[in-house]
Parts: sequence; structure tokens; C-alpha cells
Amino acid sequence: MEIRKKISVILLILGILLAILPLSSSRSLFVNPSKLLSEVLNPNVYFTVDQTAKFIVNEDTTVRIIDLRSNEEFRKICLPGAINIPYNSFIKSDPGLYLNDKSKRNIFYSNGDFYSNYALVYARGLDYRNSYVMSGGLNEWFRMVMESKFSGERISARENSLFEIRTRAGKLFTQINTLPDSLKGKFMVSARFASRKLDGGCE
Amino acid sequence: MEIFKQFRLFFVIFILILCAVFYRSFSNSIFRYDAAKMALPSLQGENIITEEQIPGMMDKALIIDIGCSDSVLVKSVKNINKISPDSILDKKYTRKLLKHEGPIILLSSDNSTSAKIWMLLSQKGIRNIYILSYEKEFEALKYTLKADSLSMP
Repeated sequence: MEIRKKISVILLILGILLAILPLSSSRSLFVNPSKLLSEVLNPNVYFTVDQTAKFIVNEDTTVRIIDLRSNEEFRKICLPGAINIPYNSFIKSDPGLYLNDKSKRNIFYSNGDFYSNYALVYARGLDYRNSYVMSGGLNEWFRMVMESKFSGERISARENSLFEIRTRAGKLFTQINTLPDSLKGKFMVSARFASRKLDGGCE
Repeated sequence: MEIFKQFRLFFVIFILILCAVFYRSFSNSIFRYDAAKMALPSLQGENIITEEQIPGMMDKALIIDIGCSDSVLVKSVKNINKISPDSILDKKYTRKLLKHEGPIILLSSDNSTSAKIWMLLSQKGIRNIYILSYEKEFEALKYTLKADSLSMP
């Protein structure tokens, strides 16, 4: 066979193959479905509001809190230290941009439970096992932290510690969300500085 | 025939790749391509329905209870399929869901379970899945920030 015909046959076959192949730019979840199902149904993928409040108060650097709500909602109210990745952007862009740092645990939250749990399955399906959800979202945060009240005569050490964390987290939340946008970032830096000063004693 | 003999190795490789592509595209045991496309209905909440919308869908709908549904309306419906969330990806169930032509409605008292199952089934290529939400504003913030709302110890 002539060399030209051979090349034509090869090119034709390659063309057919390319036409059949799905677009390589599209992502797909590649973790085994059954494994993913048991993983996301495991209660260990959740952090309670109190656990998240503790991370915030302690400024835990191993945790990254991701707000999945719209940019407008984020500007009005957000958790201290949270970063905003609207759910739309999270799904449409490459989640690896935000979740690649394996040394950090990514905690998703939204107002309720829907967006954060969609994002959990999506991220874990792409093998970002460092993805978690703040159970109940911002509504639960308000219910547990902002409306936290103690009634009674005696308080146990555990209850006291929990109440203190809620109070400190609530205070931080109120302070940061009553500031104008331009000052929010600066506030977090100064809050860190103030806490270091206190930790260090008289300097 | 001579072409096949000359390019035997090439054709073998081609057929192997073709089989792999078909398996990847149509197999039920793995997720479908284009995860973002599969998740599209969740972006604007098109996959969420309320109790008022159910009667209009009842004729063709396949109702699946994956948790303890509190819906009074749904309790009156007879043909509800109860499937535990752990076993929703079992072959017998996925086949049934894939074959079903009408809408599939997921019921659960726990929104987080419904959301997770919805995303998993959608990524498996099952379309027309809806979640029954008891609230119209399913992702609304129910509270407002009051500067003096914080109770002090």
C-alpha cells in the first residue's frame, strides 16, 4: 500500500477515536462510588458548630473555613477567617485551586445544609479527603452560638468551657460583621496581634 | 483484509482503547463524565421541590424515602419505596432508577442526607431527581445579626 494511503487510514482512525472520546477538559468524580457513599455517610465528615467555634477562637491554622454562599451574602455576614468561594464557582472551576493544600482541613458551610453537602460529595469524589462540613450551617451557628444563654444555678467545668468558647466566638463574629468590608481583613490581623500580646504577658 | 493484516497491532490497540472509552462512558459502576454538568440543577435550586409541587408530579413520579420523612402529604401516598441511604447504589436500585422515565423524588427528614444522595445519583448519570424540601427558602438565613444579641456570661 502506498505510504499516503497508510497515513490516511491512520489519521482517519485517530479522527474517529477523537470524536468518540469525551472532552478531556471536563472533570468527573473518580473515587469508587460505593466507597464515596460510605465515606460521605460517615459522621466523621462533620464538624459541629461548637468545634468550628473552637477552631476560630484558637485561630487553628490547620483549618480553612470555606463559605459557599454568594459574594453579597458573604459581605453581609461571614464567619471570622472564612474565605468565600460561591458554590457556582466551586462547581464550575477547578476545586483543586482551593483544596489542594493537604495540610489543611477544609470546612464548608452555607446558610443551611444543601450547598455544603453537595460540595462535600463533589470534593471527596475528586479525592480531596480533607473536606468536611460544618453541620447545620450558619443557621445552626446563630442558634447555638449567638443565641447561647445560660440558665440555672450551677455550671459544670465542661459547660463553662463550652459557654466561654461560644461567647468568645460570638463576640468575634459580631465585631467582624459590624465592620465595613475594608476593615474586616485588618481586624483579623489586629485580633491575632492582640491575642499574641495577651499570650505573651507583659512585653 | 490485507489492511487488517498490515495494521494488526494498531487495530488491537484501537479496539482496546475503544472498549475503555465505552466502559468509561456508559458503565453504571463508575461516575459519568463532566461532573460540573451533572451538578448544574443544584446551582439554582432547580432540583428542590416543595410539597405543593408533588401532586402535579404524582402520576409518573418514583418516590424514594431515604430517611424518616415527616411529610404528612407523602405519608398518604401508598407507593413509596423505602431505601436505606447505605444501599442506594446497589445494582438493583440504580438499575431501577436509571430505567425510570419520570421524576424521582427523594424524601428525608435530614436535608444533608438528601443533598448527598442527590449529588451521588446525579453523578451516576441519573437525571430528573428532586429533593423534597419542607421549606420554600431552602438555603435562606433565618436570623439577622443584632449587635446586642450576644448574651454575656
